Amino acid sequence: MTPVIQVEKIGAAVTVQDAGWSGTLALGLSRGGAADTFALSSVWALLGESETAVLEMAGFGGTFRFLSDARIAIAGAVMDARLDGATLLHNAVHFVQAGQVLEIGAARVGLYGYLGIGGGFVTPKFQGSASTHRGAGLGQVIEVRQTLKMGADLRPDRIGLALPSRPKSSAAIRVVETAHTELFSKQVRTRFEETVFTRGSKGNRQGVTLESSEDFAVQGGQSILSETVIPGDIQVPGQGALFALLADSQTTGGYPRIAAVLPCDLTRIAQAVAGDELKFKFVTREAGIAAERAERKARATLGKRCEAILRDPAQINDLLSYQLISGAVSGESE
Amino acid sequence: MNDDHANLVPKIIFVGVDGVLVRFAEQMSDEANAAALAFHKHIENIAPVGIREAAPSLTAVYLKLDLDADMERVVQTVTKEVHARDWFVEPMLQSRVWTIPCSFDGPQLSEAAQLAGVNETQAVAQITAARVRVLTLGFAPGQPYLGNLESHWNIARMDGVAPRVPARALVVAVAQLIIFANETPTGWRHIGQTAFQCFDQNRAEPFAFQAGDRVQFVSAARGEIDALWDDSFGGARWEVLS
Repeated sequence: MTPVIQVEKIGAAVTVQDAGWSGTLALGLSRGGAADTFALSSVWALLGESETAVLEMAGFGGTFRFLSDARIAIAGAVMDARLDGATLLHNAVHFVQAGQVLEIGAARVGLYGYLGIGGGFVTPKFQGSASTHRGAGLGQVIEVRQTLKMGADLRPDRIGLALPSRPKSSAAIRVVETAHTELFSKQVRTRFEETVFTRGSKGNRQGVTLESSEDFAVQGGQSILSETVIPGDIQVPGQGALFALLADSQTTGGYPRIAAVLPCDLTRIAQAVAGDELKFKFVTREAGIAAERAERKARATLGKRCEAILRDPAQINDLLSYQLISGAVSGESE
Repeated sequence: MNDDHANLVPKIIFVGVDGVLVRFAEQMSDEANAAALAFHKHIENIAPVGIREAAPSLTAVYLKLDLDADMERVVQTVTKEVHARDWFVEPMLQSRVWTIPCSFDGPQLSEAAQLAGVNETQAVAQITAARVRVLTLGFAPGQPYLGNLESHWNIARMDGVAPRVPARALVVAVAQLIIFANETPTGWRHIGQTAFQCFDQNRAEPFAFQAGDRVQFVSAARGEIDALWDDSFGGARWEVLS
């Protein structure tokens, strides 16, 4: 473990995250972990590692002074990132020298940005995960003046690589049936698909409100017994906005649930900011399984899709970052 | 078990793209809860290929399937296991009995007692006499749903929500009790305060309860609860019931 970063300034909700827990649902602890699991996979692919802990930055990053050389990868929400004042390419892995200062600003596109480090951030784990779950009091919310430590970096030469940006989808978010879908009439389900929702102002890692002028409440919905809920479930309270559950959701709930968002599309809800429009579309369970399997395959091959930044100047929209990174790459891998 | 019965109860419902819910009843009953816990235990014991995780709730068991498995086959396996036995006649497994001190001085004790048709003294006597069962853990880490109290305790949740009921508080509704893992807004009525932490990551046993455990509350003065605050088990003791 090497001290790598002195935190000089920090956003209000920067936390340590990894893939979260598996096998703890029966104990009341939900999956947790990165809100945008695709972005987490991207960070891992860029760094050439997996399972390591990253920083998840909700809305705003911070100022990080490097105490030792390191590799960093930035993905997820697009945030202005500058190394000693020079713009860094998003969705890419960069070399940082001891003494340099990384500034990550406000999210311009999306909500959750990710900062990974070669070797991973090393913080205490609970039952296999270093994830921060505020409801459970687990993990770490990063604070100013904190010193962050990294593990041994096994791929120090893997730098100057970028992943192609994922095209922003405007397609409807795909949902499948869930615990109480059958309580909702065909007409209500159709109306659900036809409604344009807006991501409400209430939201966090537990879930977000989906607002509309429509009423989807189901008769007798208040007397439903609490059952296991999963991230992606869309709850329909008796009144008020619908609520889409995310990574840190409670594990049980008694509200009727109209649909469950495919895990691969859930990142779009997690990354939505207040006022963003969201539409939903039912797909069959078979189609959902196929989509999920395709997504897993895409994630597993992200490492191969990383391309040298030098060789694809079309990806670079900022000459300054091009210069900076080209220097780093030429010394290491050319 | 005849086919008609098998088609009605338990019911198998898909939950999202990779989940299956085996629902033993739509309404709470000790029998349905015992069936859910027994089926959950069975699945944990046989650990069928293709099931990544199993979690019981009050009257159902959620199973998370492995997307890389032959999922239709896994669903067939689940269906076969569900119908392999009549889970409603499963005996309750051996369990632990917890004794947990509680000061019955919550702000809504008298209101809750009134709704249950008893006075405060009777309410405390009945709740401390009951040996309730951990029906399930859920909502927050290690948080127990305890029941069932006698039917006159089947009181509705409040219309509104109390915004901040403290961690380790004892609340009541729908013939059940909960010890809160965290401070939380709630529609349940706040009747008492324990010093018992359902979850403590620094403890050898971070999650105190297992579903099926039994719990008996003993009345304590507020001063005793305060004195127990640094003990993460809040002065509770447990023994194995045979």
